[in-house]
This record gives sequence, structure tokens and C-alpha cells, in this order.
Amino acid sequence: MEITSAKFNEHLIKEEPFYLAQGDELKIAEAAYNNQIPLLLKGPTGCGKTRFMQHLAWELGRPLITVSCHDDLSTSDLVGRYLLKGGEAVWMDGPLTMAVKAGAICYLDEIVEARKDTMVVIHPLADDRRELPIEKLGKVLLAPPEFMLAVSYNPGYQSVLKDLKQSTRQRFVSIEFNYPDQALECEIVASEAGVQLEIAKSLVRFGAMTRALKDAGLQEGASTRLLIHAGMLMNSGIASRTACNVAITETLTDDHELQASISEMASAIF
Amino acid sequence: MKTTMSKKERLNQALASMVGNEMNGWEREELAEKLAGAPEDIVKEIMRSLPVVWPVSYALFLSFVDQAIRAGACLKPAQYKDWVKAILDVYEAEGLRQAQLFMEGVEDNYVCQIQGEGGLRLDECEAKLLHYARSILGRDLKFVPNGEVSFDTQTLKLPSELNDFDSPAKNFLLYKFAVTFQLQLDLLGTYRFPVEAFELLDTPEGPLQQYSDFFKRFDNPRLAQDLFFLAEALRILAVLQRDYPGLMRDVQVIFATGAIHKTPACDQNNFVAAIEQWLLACIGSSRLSTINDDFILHGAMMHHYLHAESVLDSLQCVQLFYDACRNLPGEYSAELQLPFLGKLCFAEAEVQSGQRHAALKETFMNAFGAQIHDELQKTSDKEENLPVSATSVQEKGVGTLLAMAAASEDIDEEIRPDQEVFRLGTMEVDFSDELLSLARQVFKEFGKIPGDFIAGAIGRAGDLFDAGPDAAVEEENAQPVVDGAMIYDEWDYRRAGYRKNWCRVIIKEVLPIGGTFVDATLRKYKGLLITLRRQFEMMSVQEKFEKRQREGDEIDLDAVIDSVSDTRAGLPPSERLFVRLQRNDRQIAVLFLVDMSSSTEGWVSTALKEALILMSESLAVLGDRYAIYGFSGMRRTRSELFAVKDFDESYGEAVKNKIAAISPKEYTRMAPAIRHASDILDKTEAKIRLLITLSDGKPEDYDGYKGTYAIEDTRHALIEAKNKGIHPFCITVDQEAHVYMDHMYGEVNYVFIDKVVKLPSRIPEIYRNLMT
Repeated sequence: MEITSAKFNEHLIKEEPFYLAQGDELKIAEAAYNNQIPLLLKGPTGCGKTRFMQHLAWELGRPLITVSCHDDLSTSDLVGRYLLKGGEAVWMDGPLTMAVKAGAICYLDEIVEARKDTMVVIHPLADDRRELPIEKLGKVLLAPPEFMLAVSYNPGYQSVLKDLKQSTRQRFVSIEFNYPDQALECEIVASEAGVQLEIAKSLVRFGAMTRALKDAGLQEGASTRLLIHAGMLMNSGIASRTACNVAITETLTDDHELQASISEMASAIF
Repeated sequence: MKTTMSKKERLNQALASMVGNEMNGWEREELAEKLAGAPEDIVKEIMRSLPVVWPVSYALFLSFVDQAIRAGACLKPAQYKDWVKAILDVYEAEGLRQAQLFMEGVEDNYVCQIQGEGGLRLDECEAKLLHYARSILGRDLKFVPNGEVSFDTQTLKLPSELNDFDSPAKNFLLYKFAVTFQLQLDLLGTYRFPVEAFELLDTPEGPLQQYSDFFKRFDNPRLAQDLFFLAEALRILAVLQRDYPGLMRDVQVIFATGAIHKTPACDQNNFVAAIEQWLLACIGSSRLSTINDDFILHGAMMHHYLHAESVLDSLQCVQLFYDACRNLPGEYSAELQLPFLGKLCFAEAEVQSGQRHAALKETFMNAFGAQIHDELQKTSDKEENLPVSATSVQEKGVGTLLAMAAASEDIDEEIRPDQEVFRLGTMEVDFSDELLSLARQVFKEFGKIPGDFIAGAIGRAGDLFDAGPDAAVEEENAQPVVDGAMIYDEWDYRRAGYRKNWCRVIIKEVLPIGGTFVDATLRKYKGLLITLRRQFEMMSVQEKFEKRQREGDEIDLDAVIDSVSDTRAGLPPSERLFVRLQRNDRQIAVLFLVDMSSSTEGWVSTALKEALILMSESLAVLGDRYAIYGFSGMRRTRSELFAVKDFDESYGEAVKNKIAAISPKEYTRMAPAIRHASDILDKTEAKIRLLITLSDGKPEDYDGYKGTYAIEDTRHALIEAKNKGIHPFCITVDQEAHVYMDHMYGEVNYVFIDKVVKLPSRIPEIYRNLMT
């Protein structure tokens, strides 16, 4: 089944997604694209990796196909499989195949979560072969120059089972994402949540305080995304302390002691 | 009527037998009458207290009877005994009148306190307050319960209990406000005397280098210091209003005192008290205009509150306030009263800051020096990059040459925050990630990288060059150890090479001890164990579908399709047409290496052992293969590894009792233990091999093995392990872990646990995170 222009348009990003560059990551990504090198985005959750990909796709004018990887994701989920339709075995393209055929950008989010056998198709796409073997069809698709592969993962999660091997890593250009610096984060929160800069500044300060709790057992402090959520709730008329509580305190942890501390931080600022 | 009479009679008789002749008949009857009208249980308590109170004071006892009956409204009979004790305490300390007042105010004075209605103890809210404090300060600190309030930049002293307000919530706010305020003394620079500002000042007494120099110039230095403190408090307050509006709003409610009572500033003590009132007004009211109109300097204070930006501004205020105050009669001898001010402790703060700064400087110079050394080594064949030729580097000793280079003009004297490389002659030294994070800390503390840090780093780089392979090492016995036990090399970072056959590792048996430790642990953590077992059970359910099997529960459709097409094509079809559910194919082997050095004595050892028991119970569910070894020893000739559990040993009574037998031994030479553990792991068959070290501090041994040398050797042992495909990981309770762990294990490969008591519950959690 070929990709129709309708499907193509579905994944094309029409409006500029809001994105404030932290450094020269856009330039680097474009250079990688022009040289047909795949991208590896590293960083904690909620600091702009997916938004960056959306912006990049918009800049390059290519459709973006995103796949959220999980530990049951197999090669067939990516490449495609046969389905039985009306007594006939019909082949359905998977998202990766669609992206290759359409010359789109395929973004595999949290790649370490996926099953190891998916590397079988990722490796040939990620080096200079740029080919996708579809074993079941006995075909090998050559990716057009407009196609780009991008993957993301969070190196902060200390998992031994889920780790990117060198044989995979060394095929990519890697860009590190982190929580943006204070001034930038304020702008992002203000814009995305639709709140005044003063409130954004308070939210960012609150976020910074939660990030200091790493040693106390909090795996990760509040990401930019959580701050935006809190801001959005405040914008909709929810009381500030409540908004912080439901968007950030309760979301970050179930430990009562940590919750109490984070609550105190919120009530000091708001 | 008859019953009451008998009751009164009974009481009368009872009283008679207790006090006999000391009370005359009429008084006794009156007393008995009063008691007869009171509830039975209270009468019982009063009679019980009689022999205690009566001998102390007759008058007191009479008052007591009245009050005790009244107190029945809010005291339970069981509480009378303690109440009587409290009354007697007050009587003995302060006399009859006070004791009577104390009894009259039984609700306010006594009931509130014992019911905890009003007061708040520090230990009830310490945990969340400490996290809160850390998040503001940006680094670790300690609370110490004490009578007074003070902060020396490392330890925050707070009263162990607060009763200033009538509810725990309000008292908590006072704690929170005091903590937030005190931390600003460090963050906003109150403890840092602005030496630079006074450098050009020519005073007859000599240069001004610290606060005491400044205050000594006034003839009442205490007054000057308190005025300075108040000016700083105003400045800090303005910052708190700006940055913590939530807190200030909450606190405003509890400090709102309505109209400020007009204290005419009629003498020096009052003057200072009036400023404190003004401070309180700033907190407690949103309108600064509610101020005593008589008060001199109102305008100046307002201006300072609104415009002060630095410690210097406050110091400049001092003269102004001081002169105004000195015009008044009296001599200032009072003390500042506001509860959150506490006492300034300049000397202690300087000591603490000094220690922190020294540690940071040391670490930075070592790291930067190592970086410069590495860069110089790389460019040693590109002679033109150095101000002097590279061959002469080997000949003359780099120390001298670097000193010469430093004196030349082509060197950066300080490093600004936006710089990315450092110029050394025509060479550029990159900042590695680790160096960058250290550099950022230095910027935060000092505002730049000071010249002496750079000079020191260059000196270290020179040392690294000078310590060649022939450098003598102060060691009693520099002979390698060879006698059949496990022998390991040791890494000498100075020469970037191994000392061959340098350490001997001996495996020792652990004698299991019976006793109650294991059972007590299992009981203590009963609840947690249930949770852990469930969590680990979920982990073990790793269902994997093995396709193309000869037998199984499901048909593998892909395989069937293939076989049909194969048949059509004339090829023999496969028989592997089924899908089989494979469980628990984890193939993991983990070795726990437990620090048994003498420093683990006490809490740490107990917590470690409890953690091991919990971990073993969890792993029993999961089925991962594991081993436990303790390590300690003394000197390179006797590194000891204690076999608590081998891989193939099953977790039974013997192993449990061996865990219980773990006890603190001697020193901490980690590297040979790691090397041997890596060997053991290497021999096990597993897809994933994990080496988890549980430690409480840096590697250190008796024979001078410590500091950078020990850290580098340990780091190298870990790298060797990684090269064998083993994943090393460290769980540490060492407060100073950050200083060396990033370098030794790598940022992602260690976890610091701030409280030892949390070890048992956190270690299984950490393992779980590692394994999902």
C-alpha cells in the first residue's frame, strides 16, 4: 500500500511550532540533514526534544512521523506486517516504511525502550547505506535524500539493560538537550503557558528549586513541560498553589516527605 | 443528704489522718466540704497529691485544691500527676505567686503545651524544612537544635521548639521564615566583608579586612554591629519580598500586629528597638506608612529598604544611624529581639567558607592541572606550540618551564564565565565536562577563576611531569608481593603505568553468627518487604515470545505463511511453526561489594546489613544471580575480601547469618577489591554483569594510599572492569561524594543517599531502576 498524498499531508506541519533555540542545535540538525546523517537527541524528559523535531520538520518542509518506543515494539511494528483482510493477506506499511517512501523525517522517541531486534532495521538506515530491508516482502528500500532518521533517549536513567551500544551510537550526530538556562526558560514558559513574564519567572525559580532535590531521592526535578502545565492551569483560573501542587508536586513523586518539601517551596514562591 | 455527709465525713477523716494537727478542725471541714462537691476522680487525684504538695507549702496546697477542681474542665485525671510536678517546679523556681498564676492559667500555660496544640518541635518538621533549605541554598547544610538562631554557612542552628504562636502551623511559618532569612546571610553576601571597597581607604588603624576592623572604629562596637545587622535585615527583607512573595504573604498574617505602638525613641536602647519595630512593620503590613511619626531617620530607613543593593550600602548606613543614636541619652546595651534575626557569627562563617573554598580550590587545581598536563603531553611533539622547546621539557623539568611560561604575557590571568578554552602560550586547553562543572562552582563562589587557582593548577601539571617513572615513593617495603595468593597490579597515575604485582588480595571466611539481627530486620521492614516482593515479582515477569519453535502454545503465523509458500515453491517446509512464551530469561549476575572499613562503625554498618537482607529477599523473588563480598584490609599486602555469599550459594540460614556477621574492620583500599570482584564476575556466565559497590567514603589505606593517587587507582580499576563488559555502579553515603565520584565512577553511575537510614529502602529501588 503506497502512501497517499492525504497521509503525507496529515504528517506535514503547517504552522511554525514555537521553539526557542538553546544554542545552535537547529544549524547542526540542518547540516546533518544536508549530509544525510541521522540525529540522536539526548536529554531528560520535557526539555524540548520532540518540539525541536517538530520545528525542524517545519523548517525543512518535510512531514514528521513520530513513533513512541516501548518494550514491546518489534521490527514489524516499525516496518510493517501482513494483515488478513477478506481472506487475503494484505501488506501494511509501518511508520518507518512510510517515512522512507515519502522522504519524511522519522523520529523514534525513547529508542532504548524498544526491543533489541529493531536494531536490525535501524542500523542499515542509519549508516551510509540508507536502506530499509523489508524481509517479509523480500525488498530493500533505498531511502530518498529527503528522508531523515532521528532518535532520542534519556541518558540520565541509570539502566543497565537499556543502554545504547556503541555499534548503534556511532552512526549518529548527537545533540544534547538540557533544561534551558533561566532567561530562556522564562520566555518559553511565558509563551507556551500564556502567562505573564513575572509568573513565568516565579515558575522557573520554583522548577530550579525542585531540581536541587536530586540527592534526596527525587529522580528528576520539574521539567520545563511541567512548569508550562502549571502555568496553563494558573491561566485558566486555578489558584497558584493548587496549580503547582497538581501539575508539579503530585506529578513528581509519591513520597510524602518529598511532597511536603516541594509544597513548601511552592508556597514560598506563590 | 446522708451520702454527702458521709462523703464529707470520710474526706474529713482522711484529711485528718494525713495532716493531723497541722490543720485546724474548721479549715479541715471547709476543705472536706469543697472536696465533697467535686467529682470523684478529681478528688482522688487531689488526695493523692496531698502528701506531695502539703509538705512543700500549706498555702500552695490550699490554692491547689481550688484550682485543681477548676482544672477538671480541661485536664484529664491521668494528667494531674504531671501537672502537679510542673506546679512544684514553678513554685521552687519562682515562688508562690508565680505558682498560683501558673495554676490559674492552666489552659494556656500547661494544657496547650502538653497537647501540642500550639507549639511545634523542630524534629516534627525537620525533614521537609531541610529539603526546602537545600533547595534554596543550592548545596547541603545541617540543622542543629539549639536555643538560638544562627547560620555559619554550613550549620543552621534553630530553637528545638517554637511556642511564639498558638498553633503549629503558625510556628512552622516562623521556622520557615527564619530558615529562609538566615540562608540569605550567605546568599546575599552579609558574611562576606567587601574588602575591595576599602582597599583604597587610608585609615590610621591599618587596612580594613574584616567586619571587626570596621566595628572597632566605633566606640560602641556592639551598637554599630547591631545597626549593621538591622540594615542588612532590611536589605534582605526587600529581596525576600521580591523573590518569595508566597512566603512573605503567609508570614504577613502572623506578624501583623495592627498599629505599631509608638515607641518614642527616647534613649539608645529604644532607638534600636524602634528600628526592629519598623522591620516588623515592613513584614506585617503592606503599608509602610503605618510608622511612628516621631521616629527619626524614618526617611533614611525607607530609602535604604527600597534602594539598598549590597553590603556596602548597609555599611554606609551604619554611620548615619550610629550618629543619630549617639545623640540620645543612655548607653546601648540591649540585644536584638526579633526571633528570626539570631546572632551573626562572622568568625565561624569565615571558617566554614574557608574550608569549602579550600576544598573546591584543591579539586579544581588537581583537575585543571591534569587537563593541562594531558594537553601538553599531546602537543609535546609539536614544539612550536610551547613557548619553549619540548625536548627541553624532559630535560629541565616542566615546573620551571611552566613557571617561565606563566610569567610571559601570553597567558590568561583569569577565566571569565563565557570562555571555553584557556590560553597557555600559543596553546589552548579545552574545558572537559567535568572541569566545566567544577569551573562553574568556582564562578559561583568567587565570581571568576582567580589567578592563584590557575598558578596552582600549572604547578600541579608540572608535578605530574616531574614525577617520572624513577620518582621515589615513600614506602617501607617497595618490593612486589609474590606468594601465590591473588596478586594484582596497582595503577600509578603519576607515571601513567602499573606497579606490577603490587597488591595481595586474601579471601577470608565470614563466620556466621546466630542471633536476632536477621529476624529483627525482617520484622522491622515487614511492610516494605511486601512491597518489594511485589515490585520485584513484576520485574521478573519478562515474557518473551520465542518464535519459530518446534512446540509452543501459539501458532506462529509468519512461520506458517513461510512454510506454505515454501511448499508451493517446492522447498521442504520448516517444522518450527510455534510461538513459545519464555519466562525469566534475564541472565543477570550482580556482585555486591560492601565497604567494611572501620568508618562504617555504627549506623552505617547496621544500615548496610539491613539493606543487604532486603536486597537478598528481593532477589530471591527475582531469581537474578548474585554474590556478596565485603572488603577492607590494611596495606597493599593484605587487602581482604570477605566471602558473604558466592554466586552459587543459595540464600538460606547460613548466608543470612553471615550477613549479620558483617562488622567494621580496617581500611578502604577499594581498587584491589574491585579488580578481584571483576575477575569473579568475568568467570560467571551471564549476559549482563553488574558490580555494585556500597561505600561510605573515599578509598584510603594505612600506607599513604589516599587522595588523588587512590582515586585514580580506583578509577582505573573501574575502567578495567568496564573493559571486561562489567557495569560498575556505586551507592554512597559520603557527604563529599560529589567531589570525587563524578570523576571516579562517572556522573551517571553512582547514587548519593543523604541519610544512612534510607539505605535499606533505597537500595532495592535503585537496583530496580537499574534493571528496567
